Amino acid sequence: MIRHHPNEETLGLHAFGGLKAGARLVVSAHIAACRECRDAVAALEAVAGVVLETAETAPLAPDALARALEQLDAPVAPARTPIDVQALMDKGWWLPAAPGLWFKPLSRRVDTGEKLYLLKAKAGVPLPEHGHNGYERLVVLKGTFGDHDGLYGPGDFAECDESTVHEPFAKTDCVCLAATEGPLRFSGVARWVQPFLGV
Amino acid sequence: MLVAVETRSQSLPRSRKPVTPEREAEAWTTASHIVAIAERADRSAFTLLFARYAPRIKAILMRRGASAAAAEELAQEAMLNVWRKADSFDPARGSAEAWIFTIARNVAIDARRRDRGVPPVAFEIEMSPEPAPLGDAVVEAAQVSERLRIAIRTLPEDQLEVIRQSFFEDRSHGEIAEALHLPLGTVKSRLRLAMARLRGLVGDLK
Ligand SMILES: [Zn+2]
Repeated sequence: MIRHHPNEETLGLHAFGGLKAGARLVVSAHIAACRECRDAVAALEAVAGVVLETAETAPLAPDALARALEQLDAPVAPARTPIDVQALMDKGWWLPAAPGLWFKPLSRRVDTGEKLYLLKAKAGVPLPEHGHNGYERLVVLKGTFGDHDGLYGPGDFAECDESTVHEPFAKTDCVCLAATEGPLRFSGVARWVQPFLGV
Repeated sequence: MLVAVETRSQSLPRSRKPVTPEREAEAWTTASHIVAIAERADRSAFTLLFARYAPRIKAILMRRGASAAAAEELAQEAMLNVWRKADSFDPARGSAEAWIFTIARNVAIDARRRDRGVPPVAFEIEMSPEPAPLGDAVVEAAQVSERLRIAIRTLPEDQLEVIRQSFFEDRSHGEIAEALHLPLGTVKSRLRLAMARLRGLVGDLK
């Protein structure tokens, strides 16, 4: 059962395509597991459809339609094969951060500090506490962790900003998918791993 | 459960309530053009959709800071995807214009991802299956759209602008605040207000 959802703003940005890539994936994972948020996003997409329908228009190049018609039957480039997080979770290397705590970076933008990574913790281990610089969203893929707001199981979503106080710890062995915007300051056990992650 | 991300979310449930005939005719037109493409690769239906939506998609992207050339390319790509993906449109599950929006949105997102080298990701969440919803209330997608059309006309311009600003671009609230010369808190609260109002309206119809 899902107990923790993205807030209204995050769902709005998700529906409108306004989230950075990593955050979008984290929200997508929650939505795939949560009917309530799926319905909410569908409602927001209906809103977006109306905004599109009533939008102003910009004139197109004179040959725009002709070009489009020409390409209708052109072969489509195959989609890129997605990273299989399941496979990554079970094998491959993890970067040890502290006793019972590992990271696996999936992607990172050096210029903005935007980052997507997996976080794995053993039962009873405190998760990294994020500092006051940037924004983080995560979704539980496996296991359970807890913080001031209760327990988070598979599909549950957590987001924190400047105002969030939380002392998360792994209740069972758990794996989370997390995205950050901007550089983060970890405190506590995970602080020393930062240079390796470049966050 | 295998999860493929970046798919369109499930759409609004259906209803038996009637809509105004003129609105129904219009909604039916966009939807029926998409269906005509899906069923018989109808190029004249595509031409009509292109004339209606490509200039709007281009305008939205330009408003968000894309150059005219880049916006035109993305509008082209979006309309090509309307052609290619027409058979995934289900008129019973949501409005036609919402479907076109999601196609355009995903094109914009993919373009950004290509630019930045962020790979697509697939993953699985291990969890018990969701309980089936109890007696889904049913609402006609076209009726929702009509109510939303009216509601959007009554939204204060400042709220609408914040919504427009968050379309398609991964601009943070901080960046929107900067673009509109507003305090961050104001951007957040306007967006929250607008969302709550519009979503409340969709919720009321359920
Ligand atoms: Zn949810």
